[in-house]
Amino acid sequence: MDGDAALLLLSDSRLPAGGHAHSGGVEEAVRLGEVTGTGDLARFLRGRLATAGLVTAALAAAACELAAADRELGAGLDPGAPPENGAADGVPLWRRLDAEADARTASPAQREAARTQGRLLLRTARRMWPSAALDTLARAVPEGPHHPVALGAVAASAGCTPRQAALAAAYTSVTGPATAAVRLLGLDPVTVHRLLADLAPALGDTARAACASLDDAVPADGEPDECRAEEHPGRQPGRHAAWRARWRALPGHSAPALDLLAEGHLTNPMKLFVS
Amino acid sequence: MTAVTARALIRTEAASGGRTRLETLRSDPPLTLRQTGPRRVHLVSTGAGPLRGDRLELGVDVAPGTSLEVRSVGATLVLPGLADTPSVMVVRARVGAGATLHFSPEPTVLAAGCAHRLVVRLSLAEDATVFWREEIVFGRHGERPGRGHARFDVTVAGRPLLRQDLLVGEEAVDGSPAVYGDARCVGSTLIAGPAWAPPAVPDVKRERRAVLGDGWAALPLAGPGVQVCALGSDAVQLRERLRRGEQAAAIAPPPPGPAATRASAIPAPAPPATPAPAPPATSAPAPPGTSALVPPATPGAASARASRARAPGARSAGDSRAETGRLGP
Amino acid sequence: MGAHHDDLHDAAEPHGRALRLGIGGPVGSGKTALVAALCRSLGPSLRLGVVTNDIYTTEDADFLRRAGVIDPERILAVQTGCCPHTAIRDDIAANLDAVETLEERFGPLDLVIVESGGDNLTATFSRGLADRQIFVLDVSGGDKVPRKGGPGVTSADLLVVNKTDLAPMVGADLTVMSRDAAAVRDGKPVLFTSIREDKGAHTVAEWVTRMVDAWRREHGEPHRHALPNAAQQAPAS
Repeated sequence: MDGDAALLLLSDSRLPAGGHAHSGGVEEAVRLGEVTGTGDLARFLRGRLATAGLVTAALAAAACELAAADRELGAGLDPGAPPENGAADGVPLWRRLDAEADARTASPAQREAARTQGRLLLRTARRMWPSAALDTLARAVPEGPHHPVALGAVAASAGCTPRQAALAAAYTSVTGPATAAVRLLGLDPVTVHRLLADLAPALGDTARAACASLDDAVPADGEPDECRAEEHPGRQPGRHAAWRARWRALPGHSAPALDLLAEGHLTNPMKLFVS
Repeated sequence: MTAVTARALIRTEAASGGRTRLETLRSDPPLTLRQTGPRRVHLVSTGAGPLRGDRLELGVDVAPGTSLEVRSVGATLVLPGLADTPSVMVVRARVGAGATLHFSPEPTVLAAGCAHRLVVRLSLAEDATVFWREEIVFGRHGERPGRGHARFDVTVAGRPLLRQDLLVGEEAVDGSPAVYGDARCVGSTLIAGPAWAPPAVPDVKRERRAVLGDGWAALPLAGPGVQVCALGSDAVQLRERLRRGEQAAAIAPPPPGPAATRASAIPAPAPPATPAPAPPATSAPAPPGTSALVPPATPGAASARASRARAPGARSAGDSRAETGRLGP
Repeated sequence: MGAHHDDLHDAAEPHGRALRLGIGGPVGSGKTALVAALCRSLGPSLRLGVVTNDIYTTEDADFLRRAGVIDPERILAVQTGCCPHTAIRDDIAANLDAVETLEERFGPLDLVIVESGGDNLTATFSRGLADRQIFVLDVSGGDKVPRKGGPGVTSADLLVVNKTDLAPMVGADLTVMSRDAAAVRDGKPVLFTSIREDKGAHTVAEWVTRMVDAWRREHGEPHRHALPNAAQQAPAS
């Protein structure tokens, strides 16, 4: 299936999934005077894309891949039908992928914002593109999966490829903050969209790098892998280990300033954006 | 100038009476190790560098029930070299059941023109405790930094606790208000162990709250740990900020609540000493920073290990409901 | 997801849950005061939750907390990213999430009030979010406002005209407002009140009670799927 049209729907800022209320740290950066105009904003967006953008793109690609596999496992299952073994098997894997997102998000404020966005996206997407994978994910992480994990699963359900999922994640990692800056600083919207246009090649590069990282499969230097047979009694432990190994080396590019901004934002009683 | 490959190893074993014995202390220049206390080892750099092309590996194996402290005598100055390949420093550490590791070398300085890769793989047993500090300085005074890429992977019983990359000297991140702003150095301290485990019955839509200071934050992780992250204009300021965060983190993280706690809400730590290059080799009280290794000495701390409940007293106002919701399933 | 019914009110499955009441209206018309008044009047008899949306997010929530009319934990503030009307109409996901969070934490509830951020006359609630909605005007905007209409005035289930005590001072003719409102509202009710004088907004509270009763008759008692909460009623203060 060609996911191009679905990709447009998924990355449209009008997608009713709560994304419009997140500034990705821009509101706090504006409050502190760290972003005051288009020059600062351009550096902010570029840095955000190279860190949080890359990480979310990689997680989205991984989730898309897992959801597609889940779909194959659950092929022939009607969405909403009682889960068969294939779908039940997906629960620990989705939890693990979500834990990989946790490990890449040191800031609790950012984890909470990511889970809120993921929960809202999943709520919306389960009505737009119902699928067994989304049901499994919702069951696996009832508090709401990290946004990129939800985004990847939703992308797969909408017929997108992992690269398209990664592109959507990279795109939303900068468009939300850009729009917020327009609203908060009264910047010329065309000037800001010019910044986004300038970032287009970097968005493509980020999506490609994110997908490539899935195939890095760097041997984790003897990193021990948990072996918890009780999670999947009698069920393909090898398959689980293979998935887990695939996610270890995914990028975890951190942005200390974004962490500090996210935590500072929570203390702002006059905030207009969720994050 | 030829590239160097070196492999050094520190390994402890449990001795009688619950003591720790250094079972292996294998230096491999330029990675030279000196025992400076019963359970303390200093890295003593012999020779410049690392330089491009060098590959240095340090293994640290803390046996179950033992404890170890690893420090370094001076900063590591990463220099350019002739080789095309970057210099690589790999630290692999395993901390066994009930064991404790304190790892706090002096900063890594990325001199102009260098290309450096730092890889840390830290595997913790379920109830191991660790204090791990990393500091990176963006070039010597007044110079542009070389290129650096640090990767930090921490697992607890095989589950991911923290996976982070830090990129320095890349166009996209340099000077970005989203990444380092105008800071000249970045640092982090991971304090992890069962005493920092999240509540057993969390409020699923609320996280534990961070403690936020000027240029630093103590960030409770999703797993059993807190990461202090800090930015600074120089190494002294960075260390001071990390110390403040480490002290905040030594108190168990604030519970879920409306917002992060501002550092002013917690007792201000004593003025930190300037980074001491080499603490005296005594077995006397723990050096600054190690206090965070032990659970806070509050009445609830002893049971905190078993019940995973949080030590009392760190509760923020207006969160009584979340607290009560956690008392039982 | 059982949300595929063709009910005119196409909100999430209505069976066994609280009535969701939207309260909208222009800035300064008295939305928050009305919410506080309803909490005061209805708190003793109904299990309540409140979601506020405001561009100065926590201000309204703080107002309600200070008013002491409801357990502060039962008020959730939603940030709308500078777009209050988007959050109640075009993209209601965050508000739905807040409503459900209250129901999870304190359910079952009889009534969840969603207060919109102050906006203009065109802002109305999506039927996916609010089962019933009240639009609040005040007389100081001028007595021509009802005549101008706009979706808020024409389509709300109840139009409340507040601050009637100010009418003589601002030269507003309540008879004109009543006549004009009736003309554009196709028989739907209009209530005049002064919350400053009637701290419980009793006429509005009676209307809301009738709505809650009708909702319960139609869709059943709200489910008791959560632990009963001892601190159910609004704290006395």
